[in-house]
Amino acid sequence: MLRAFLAGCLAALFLSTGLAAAQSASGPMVEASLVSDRSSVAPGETFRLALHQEITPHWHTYWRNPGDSGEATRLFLDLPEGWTVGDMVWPAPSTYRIGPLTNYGYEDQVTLPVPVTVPADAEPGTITITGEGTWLVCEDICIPEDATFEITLEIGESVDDANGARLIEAAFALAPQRGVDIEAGLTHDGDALILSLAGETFAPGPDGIRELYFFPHDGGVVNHSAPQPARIEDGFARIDLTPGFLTRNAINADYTGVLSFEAFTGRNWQRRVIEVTAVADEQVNDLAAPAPVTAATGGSGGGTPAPAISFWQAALFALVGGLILNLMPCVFPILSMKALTIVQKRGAERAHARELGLIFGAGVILTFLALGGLVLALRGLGGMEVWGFQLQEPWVVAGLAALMFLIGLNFLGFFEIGTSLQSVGGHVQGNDRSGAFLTGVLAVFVAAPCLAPVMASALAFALAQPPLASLTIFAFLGVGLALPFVIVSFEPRLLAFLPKPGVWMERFKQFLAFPMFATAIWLVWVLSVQTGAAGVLWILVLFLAISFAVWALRSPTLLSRAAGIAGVLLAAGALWTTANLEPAAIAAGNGEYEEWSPARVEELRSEGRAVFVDFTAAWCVTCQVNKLGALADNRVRSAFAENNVALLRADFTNRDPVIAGVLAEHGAPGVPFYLMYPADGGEPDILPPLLTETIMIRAVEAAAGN
Amino acid sequence: MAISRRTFTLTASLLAATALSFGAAAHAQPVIGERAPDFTATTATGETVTLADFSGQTVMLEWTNHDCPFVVRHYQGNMQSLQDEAAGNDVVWIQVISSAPGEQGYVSAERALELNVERGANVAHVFMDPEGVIGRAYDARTTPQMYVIDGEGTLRYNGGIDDQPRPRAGDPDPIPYAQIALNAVLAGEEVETPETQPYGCNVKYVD
Repeated sequence: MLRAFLAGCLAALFLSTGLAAAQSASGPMVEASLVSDRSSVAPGETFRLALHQEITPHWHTYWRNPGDSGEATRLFLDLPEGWTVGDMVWPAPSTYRIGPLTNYGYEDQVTLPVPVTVPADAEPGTITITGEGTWLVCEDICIPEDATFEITLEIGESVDDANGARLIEAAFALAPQRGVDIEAGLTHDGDALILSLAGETFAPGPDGIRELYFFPHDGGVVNHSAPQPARIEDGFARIDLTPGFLTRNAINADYTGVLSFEAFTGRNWQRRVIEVTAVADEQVNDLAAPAPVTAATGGSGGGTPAPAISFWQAALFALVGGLILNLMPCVFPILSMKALTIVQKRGAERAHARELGLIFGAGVILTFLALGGLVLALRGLGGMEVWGFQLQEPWVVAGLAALMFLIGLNFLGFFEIGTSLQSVGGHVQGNDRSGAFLTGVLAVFVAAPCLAPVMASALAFALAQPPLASLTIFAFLGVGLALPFVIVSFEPRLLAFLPKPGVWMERFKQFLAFPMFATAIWLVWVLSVQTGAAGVLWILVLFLAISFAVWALRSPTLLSRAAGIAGVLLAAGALWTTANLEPAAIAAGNGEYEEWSPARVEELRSEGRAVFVDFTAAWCVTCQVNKLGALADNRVRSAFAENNVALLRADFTNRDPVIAGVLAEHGAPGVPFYLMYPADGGEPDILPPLLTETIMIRAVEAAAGN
Repeated sequence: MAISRRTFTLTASLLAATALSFGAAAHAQPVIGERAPDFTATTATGETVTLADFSGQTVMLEWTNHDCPFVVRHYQGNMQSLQDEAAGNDVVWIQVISSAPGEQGYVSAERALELNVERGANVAHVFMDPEGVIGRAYDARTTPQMYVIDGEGTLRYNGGIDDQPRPRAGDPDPIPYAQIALNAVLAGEEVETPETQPYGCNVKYVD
């Protein structure tokens, strides 16, 4: 009997030591200590003890709600008679994504304070407090650890302990603020769980607040791994959560949690955390649903960027963006066509010029609306809504190149359509109207890929809005693009500055053929990047067939008509062939740049390097301008080298869902797009679409932590 | 303990790969009171079984990873006694191993059976789920995580084995949620707490 009992004890002992051996084989993953903010305490005062953890790199311990798995750190104190202890203070957690699961916790180091109150009648002298800490520490596997502590304090005067006080103050600085006046409510909206928020905190709106995320204190309230799209509008916010098992069918209690976001201080973005209580079945604002989040890729915070401008700002930006589009390199041919029309209409009746101007404007705006509708339709189909996408289609590029080539031929006088020189003098022709309208259509089509800086945020906003609002933004882009020309058509005094008509006009028109050909050459180059040598071959065949068809059709005989039709068929065949070519692998002509992949970014970042990513495409003119300008600048390149910045290039010339996903995640409507990841592992900086040497050097220094 | 450190890179590429599918539908949500997700599983003894094969019997699914400290702790007697009691009530007890190759808890079929002999485990089947297909269908997050399916094929319990992530000396006795649910189903009663927060190690899914 006794023997059996002893054997049982031994077995228990063996099992527990076996467990202990299992976890200490590689040494503890957490160096833990018990610290105090006082070396000597006064009777009646409340001071703080804290469990301080130094965690092995890449491992983490857990927050009060560990998320999908894991276990919160705990501290048990053995206090003398009459001493009382309060609740643990938890600094704001980070988010860890492991496969389909999400955890909340801490890495590197964390200090977890508890308030301790000394009884008023405590006798002066020396006292020893013992405690035990238990925690789970995980990388991809988990190890439960524990430790016992002992701390000796004097009772008498209140004296700070410098080291303990420093750690504990830092923990309080990172802990959620309490008592901030925020109303919060939790309601259902279909399958979603809506956290509605109201308070002065949200007054800055999306300009001053981003990365909004809710960490519930308890498990089961939300699905931790679901994205949390958010909308912020002056004084109100709304986060769309996915319910957990506690809230799926009904919200039976008020739930507390931590609201985490980044606030703009005027110079930089700083994380803030606030404790809120979400009242069951209460809705404190009526904001519309935020745009869905397409991707969430690790890092801390885990919030989603909300569109950072208000509706009217976006409309204004869209207008200015449209105006700027007039000055972009790829709109130049269109501008020259407009210039030509203006020159031709000199002396025409003003009313007619106005009419043409308005028709052109209508063409522009309607085309923008049509494109906007298309984007919305694609978004509805779950397609990637990325601007400039039409130039990712080889057949569009080829068709556009052929069109430019044809216009060039026309300007050189190879064939005539509609207006000829004789019609300068102002015969009203139906052709003028349709010509003006088509000019408008063409202007939009060619301008779209040129992302003017301001257009980026307006588009990001448009894509995250309900359909009507997005279409308004698109319309404003069109207004901006058409405005200069419409003004000229309405203000004939501006025309007075133009020279008199004469033979030079014919020369001028011929000269304009060359920008057209230049544009065609650029598009052929884009196609060569997209489809390789075969694409170049077929587009040249297309040029040949088109010019032959035009030449043949100029003569009215049956034979030449037939030949012309044959040419048209050949042209269509060439275009069809181009459209069906396999996309070429992007040539690795990146020089100092490596090919981008999310994995490569993480790899380089884990080496503690800053990483610069250039999201670019052959059809993006601004990208080429940056590549040959700021990015090629010697000072910028030496700044890269001195700070050991890793350079990656993501080529978006052809479709790429991974790149499209990253663009969407950052709210970028297209390329150019530049990310600078800091060396210290923080969130990346988004650089403006038009780079300068100064911007680049500052960004490099900030990322390197200088 | 051997530590298979998964590199950052793998995590990152996994994130990238799942990023796009991660948006609207994070994962399937098995719903209490509805049909349990169907499965076609390969067992450690090489059989192929489906959920329909167990029609008329109560099924207990236990997600496991023999090296996870939480699993180790429950296999010091608690899990085995639950299994014995279930077997006595004609319950089909199934272990599911969703650890991917190279991850903690991944074992050959042979080793899985061996482990159960060593531990004195009493289970009807061990499902080899290295691709994580069954795990994701059931949205299994931790080891251990328990599911009870009644004879109609309806999911009646999903969650933790009990309410104590760490049984400690001086702690109250744990509330054995999974056992209570199983007994309610066997008695033909409603399960009072059909869903709880599972705890333990995360399931080591394939990248």
